[in-house]
Amino acid sequence: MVGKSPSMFFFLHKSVQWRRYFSREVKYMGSDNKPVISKKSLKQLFYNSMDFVIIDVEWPMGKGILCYYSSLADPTEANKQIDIIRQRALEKTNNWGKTAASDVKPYSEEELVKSVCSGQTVIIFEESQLMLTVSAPNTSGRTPSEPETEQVVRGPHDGFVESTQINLTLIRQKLHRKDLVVKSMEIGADTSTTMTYLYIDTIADKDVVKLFETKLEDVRDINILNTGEIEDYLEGSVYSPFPQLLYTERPDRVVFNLMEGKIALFADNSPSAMIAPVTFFSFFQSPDDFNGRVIIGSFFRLLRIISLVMAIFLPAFYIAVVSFHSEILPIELSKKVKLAINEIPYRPIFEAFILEVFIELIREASIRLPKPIGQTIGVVGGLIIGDAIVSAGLVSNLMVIVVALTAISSFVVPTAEMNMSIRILRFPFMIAAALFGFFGMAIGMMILTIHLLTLSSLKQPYFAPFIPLDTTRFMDIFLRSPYTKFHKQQKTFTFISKKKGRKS
Amino acid sequence: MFTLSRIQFFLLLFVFQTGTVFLSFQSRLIDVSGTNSWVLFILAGLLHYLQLFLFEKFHKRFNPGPFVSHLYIVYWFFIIVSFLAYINYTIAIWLFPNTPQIVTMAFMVGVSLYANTRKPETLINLPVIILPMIPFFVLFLFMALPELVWTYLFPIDVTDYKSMLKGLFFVQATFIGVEMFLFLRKYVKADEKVNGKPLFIYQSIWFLFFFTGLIFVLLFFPLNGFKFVTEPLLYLLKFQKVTFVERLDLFFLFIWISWSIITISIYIFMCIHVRKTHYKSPSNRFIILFHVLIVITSTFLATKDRIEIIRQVSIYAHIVFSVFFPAVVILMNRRGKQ
Repeated sequence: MVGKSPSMFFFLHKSVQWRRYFSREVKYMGSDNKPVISKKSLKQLFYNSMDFVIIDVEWPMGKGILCYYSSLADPTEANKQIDIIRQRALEKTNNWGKTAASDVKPYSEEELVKSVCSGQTVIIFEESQLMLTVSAPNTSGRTPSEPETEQVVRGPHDGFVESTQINLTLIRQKLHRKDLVVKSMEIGADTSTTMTYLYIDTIADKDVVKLFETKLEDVRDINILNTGEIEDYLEGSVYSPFPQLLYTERPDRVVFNLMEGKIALFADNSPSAMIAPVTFFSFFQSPDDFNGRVIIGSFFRLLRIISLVMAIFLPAFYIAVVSFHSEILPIELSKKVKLAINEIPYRPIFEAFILEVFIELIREASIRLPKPIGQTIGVVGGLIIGDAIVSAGLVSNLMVIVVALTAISSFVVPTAEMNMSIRILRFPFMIAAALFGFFGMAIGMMILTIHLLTLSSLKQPYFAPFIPLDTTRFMDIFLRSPYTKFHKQQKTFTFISKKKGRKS
Repeated sequence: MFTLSRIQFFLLLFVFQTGTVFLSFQSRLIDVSGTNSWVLFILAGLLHYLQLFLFEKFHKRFNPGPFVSHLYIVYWFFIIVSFLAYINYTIAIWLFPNTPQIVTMAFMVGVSLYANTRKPETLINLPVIILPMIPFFVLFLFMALPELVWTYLFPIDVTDYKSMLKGLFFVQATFIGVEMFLFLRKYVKADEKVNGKPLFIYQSIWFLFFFTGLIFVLLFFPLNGFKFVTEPLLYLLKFQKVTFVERLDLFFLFIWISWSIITISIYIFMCIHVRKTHYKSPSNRFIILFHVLIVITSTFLATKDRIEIIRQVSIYAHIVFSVFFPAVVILMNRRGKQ
């Protein structure tokens, strides 16, 4: 076989790596069934797709076939690179095909499909059964801008985009550490989605990293396109209403979490990073807490915890009071409540359900519609229909206040996943309160807490610092402590030496 | 198998000891000892500390065999059903007079069933839920401060041996659950010290908790009122006048129910766990049957007369299981070693 391509041998014989390629090549070509590479067969391989471009090219050592997806590759940039590589080949440079943007591999259909589908331009040399891959992908995409769901008052206003490379750049720009490890894994037998994960080697718990890698390894053959799909495989309890992995589109949030020993995962074409392991209280922290002053940061953190309690329990509490325990209200207030609900034909639970479903409809509609119309829906739904419902005597004024307060409280939670979980959770509590009043709420609260104690994120306790009980970190749930105070470096959920700086 | 940190250990012990009795022990104690009850409780505190001290000293020798362990399981089963019967009787009076008791009972035991089919780490951390409730309980209690009559503390007559001894017997209700020290002590991490200061701190918290409750109700109600007030703490809170809410006791009931459910769950956990140390791990079917048995038995016991009888008996049973049996097991192990 070597004898059949002397010119190729001339260029490559000095390189050890190339010799390896050749030895592989010999093995590959050992049989007489040498794959036939023609324009026709290649077109068939890619199902005659309209955006699959295939051109004959001249090369110093013979003819080649250039192919790429016009929708993925940038032909202008590819031409520039090919010119440079051709020049290197003419000058007989060692490893002429190996540059920062290109590589030479033995030809295989599998490798060809993988390269072309990932946006590379490929030149196939039929004679030598080699292929040159040139990385010149079409870089069209949006520029990093502040994510709409995670806006902050103070601090950086950049956000992740659909390109993992740009996302990694954003993180590296903020974290100048050599121990920041970036690894990737191709997942999906057909989709070949690249999952890129990163962690700080000296801080992250080795066992947690190993577990994470094992979990990724387990899903290697499953076709996964984004982080949302892989979430099911990484979570310990899929049916739990609580997210066990934190999604963010903010580079600063990823950096802060990496500094706490956590792992961040990016999927190709997804602007979200997935962070694990996390605790329940991680979802209630915002970068604003750390960028603002101590007292202000603490105040808002406390406000978010109160909003969590209100978002889950307020409608249930109102139903319990109105249905079972109206005697707890002061007499003046009790009179007003009775006056307000006397005219309503339905029980408080139905009132609450009507309004809650109504609020959810407005929210869902305003998300799906274009922005200007979405705002209109909010006004029409919230003000006009809300007022009409009260006037029609379907629900009481007080119930409108309760449901509106609950809705506002649930939107205070800074992460969208937890926000949705909380919104769903208030329904079972409302039913429990309608059945048994405070007793039902107590039972519901116990079940919820036991569930939270059982959950884990990458086998790390989800309800830390309550489990395992760490009284020294209790205050950090509610307050933001000053950077000047000494604290322990968090290494996921165990602690190493003391240091100054940011405390989670 | 699980391990406990020192805080987890003491928190579990605190819930075992307080969960079943903190609402009701004052009434019977004051009824028999009158104004002497607070002096008596100081004496009881010393006895309790001595008992904890001895338990700590000899805990390594406490290795009960399957027979004794099963006796303890029966005893805890008895404590669970008597406590559940009492809770449901109280709930029926205060909250749900028309709801069948088996329904409320089933819901409470259902929570325990859910917890006991989870991993042990969930159960051993369950008492943590009580921590945020304690400040509210103390706050509610201190709202009664302006209405306390300090002269109700006197006169003291310690020469009245009969009432003192009777009181000493009833104060034993606050010791119920102390035997858990011996069962849980071996799970405390080896590098965590229990003896000395930590034990003293626990004893102080235990003492302050019960003593505060006792003093508040003693100073709030006149002595002859205790015959009619079975849950003085609840009545004390009911009489509180605050601007934002009319019935403070209902909030307290919410706290107490949660506290009680946790206590029941960890008692059942101990029954299952101690059985597991001698036999293979019980299946979920066994755990479900155990819970069903608890519901049926406690429903049967949830009447006023039956509760009175079993509460009397529970103190005798407690003395046997927290003094007699530990002493016998420890002494027998000592002889065996010699």
